[in-house]
Amino acid sequence: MTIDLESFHEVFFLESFEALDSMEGALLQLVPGVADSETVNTIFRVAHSIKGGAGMFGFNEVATFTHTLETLLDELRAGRMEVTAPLCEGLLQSVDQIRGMLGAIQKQQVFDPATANALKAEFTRLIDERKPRGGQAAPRPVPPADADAGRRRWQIRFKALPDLLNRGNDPLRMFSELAGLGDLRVVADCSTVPDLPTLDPQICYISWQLELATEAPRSSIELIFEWAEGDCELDIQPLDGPVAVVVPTQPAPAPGAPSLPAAPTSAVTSAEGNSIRVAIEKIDELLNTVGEIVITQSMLSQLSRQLEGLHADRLRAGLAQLDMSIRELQERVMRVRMLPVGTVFSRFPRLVRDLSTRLGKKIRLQLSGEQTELDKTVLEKIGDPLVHLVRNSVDHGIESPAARIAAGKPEEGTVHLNAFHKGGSINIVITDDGGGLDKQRIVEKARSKGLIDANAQLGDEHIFELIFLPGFSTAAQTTDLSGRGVGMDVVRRNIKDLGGNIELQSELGGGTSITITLPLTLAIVDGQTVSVGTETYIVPVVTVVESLQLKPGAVNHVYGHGEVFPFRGEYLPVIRLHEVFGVAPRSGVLHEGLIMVVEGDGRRAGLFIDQLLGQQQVVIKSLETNYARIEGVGGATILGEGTVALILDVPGLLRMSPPAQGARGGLRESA
Amino acid sequence: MNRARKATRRPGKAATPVVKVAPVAERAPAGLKLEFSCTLRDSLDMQFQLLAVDFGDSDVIVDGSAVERIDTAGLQMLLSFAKYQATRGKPVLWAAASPELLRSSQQLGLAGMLGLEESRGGSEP
Repeated sequence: MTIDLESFHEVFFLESFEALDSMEGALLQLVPGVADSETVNTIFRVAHSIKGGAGMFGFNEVATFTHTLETLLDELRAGRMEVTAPLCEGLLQSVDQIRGMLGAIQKQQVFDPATANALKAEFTRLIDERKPRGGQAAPRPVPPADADAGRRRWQIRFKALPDLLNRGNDPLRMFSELAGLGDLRVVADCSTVPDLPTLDPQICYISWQLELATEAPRSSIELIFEWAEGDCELDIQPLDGPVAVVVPTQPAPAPGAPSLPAAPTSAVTSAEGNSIRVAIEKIDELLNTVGEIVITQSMLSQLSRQLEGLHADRLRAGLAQLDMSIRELQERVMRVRMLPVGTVFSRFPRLVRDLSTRLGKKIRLQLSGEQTELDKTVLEKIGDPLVHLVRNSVDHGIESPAARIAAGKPEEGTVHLNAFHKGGSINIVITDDGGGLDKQRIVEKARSKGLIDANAQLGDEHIFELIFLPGFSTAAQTTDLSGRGVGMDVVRRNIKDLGGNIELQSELGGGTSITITLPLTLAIVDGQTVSVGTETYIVPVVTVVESLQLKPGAVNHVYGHGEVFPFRGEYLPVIRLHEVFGVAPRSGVLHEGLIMVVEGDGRRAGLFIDQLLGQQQVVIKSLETNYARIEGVGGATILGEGTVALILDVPGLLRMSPPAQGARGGLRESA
Repeated sequence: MNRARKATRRPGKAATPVVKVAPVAERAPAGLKLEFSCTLRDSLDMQFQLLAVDFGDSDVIVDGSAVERIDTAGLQMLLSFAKYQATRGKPVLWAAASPELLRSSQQLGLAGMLGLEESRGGSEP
């Protein structure tokens, strides 16, 4: 049996990245010149935890870097150094460096240590040059033992519990860190170490009594044992002060081990104890299983309708009850996948701070609705589009302080991100009180690019739609932040791919508001079931515009564009689903079936189907995972009667069809 | 007096023995060479090899000069071995100890019990 520390790596990375997010948030709260010990302590704890973990797993570059950072933070914590703007900047950069180092290790990539080394050197210089608040340079005092008023003596009793070593905690490393705090005397009790034949090498049998003389506060000692919490018995007592009962760890009961008095459970510990980290794959498996139960239940319900008699009625009543319970179960499992949108919002304070500093603008970021929950997959995919939109607001929306004052606005602009539930969707609104969009400039630009006719008269809605066209940009000057004209179309496509929508409202001089509407989850979809021959297909309801029956002769043939029909002032192409999927239709004559007008990626088309069957919520099964990727198909589901139905990927289908024809010229009447 | 053979194990995944034992001559001291790494990861191999060797009535002289990586589990293993030998009336003697071995044993308060307090790093005790 060997210890595979690598199995703990992912947890360490996850926890470290989360901790770095907290550290970044705390750093952004630091105000130069203000001693905020609570915030500095929070930052210190993160650095310390990452250092401990990195050391334990042998990520020496990270451990060394965080050690220097920790030393610097210790100076801040002890009030021997002041918070300055350059220092805050350096500390924020250190967060980026640690993220980069950990990311590189996680992805087994090479990390260029140049910036980290430069930062480390700068931190070391700052530590060496630190001055006390009085302004006089002074070397760090090393008082003689028991002579300095600030130095205290602590007695520490440490006994390992059976899992201590297995969980990567090594007393040797902890004691080395303790020795770094001051003078350490170590007495080991080896009376319980068995003889070699009966020794379990993965259990630590030794217990220790330590005496530490240090200037460091108790919290620094406790921090060293933080990672061993629950895997050791620990008692820290001051030897030269009032005796306090402190048992910072909550040791698990060890067989035969004397138990220490239980410490009162703190609110923090209690909260931590109420949550567990579960791999998303496990939740997806659970959701999948629940989906299977939904399908089976649906099949049973359908069968029960064919039965008659008293027992059949009871069976149907029971199945109806089961249906309710299963739906509730499905909803609850899906909720497990939900995360607060604040996990994405948390990246914006840093982003806005850095960009506004770089652009010389004064911008206040306002966040609200951070607790609004969204499916994890949706959250992961919405991050980049949001970053682009916020960058646009900062770069192009908010004016320079001088321009704002000249326009009679406050010097400081505001960017507001708000998330909230609306109906069965989530709305995220990005609002800024900047200069707004210049409709005239947009129209001129569109004309110059030939996107619209020279004499076209467009309403506001259509004008704003233009900025979502590929390559469209009205930025007077292209910057490396945004304004390359390649963003907004990608933003809209990404949001559409998530089954969402994006709308824009703007007032020249008054600011811009962008509303993103997203589905709560990608695991299920509201579908319109349609039949083509003997097959059933699911069309996502969100893509359906209208269903209609064409009159004979309404369809025309356009050379190179196939069949088209008139719909609200434009001609839409017809997509014959039976041809796409190679099935025999009930009828191949268009006016004998139905046309379902669908929309995706800003394009519309008419799907030729036999008939509409009904609407239902379906569980999406990945076709790519279970079979292969098929253009025009977004997934599959199992219907109540047990048959498989394909879920159409409407944007994909539209990409396969010829583009719509905008004018009537050159049409040929169809039979 | 350094009876130890040169270390052959370098960091890596090769399953070479952690402990090497010199041929046992009747009444002559047996040499035991600790390798580069004596950590929790190596501990089961180390225990197996220590138990597998028949030291007979010989004194055991340990060469720890090659040890560059050692942790609490490794030191505890050496301590247990020393206790095991002591019950057989054969205390463990040290030919040499690396600086890392000395520092780690002192840090854990085990140097005295292991008989390493008088040793000098990388040289004869």
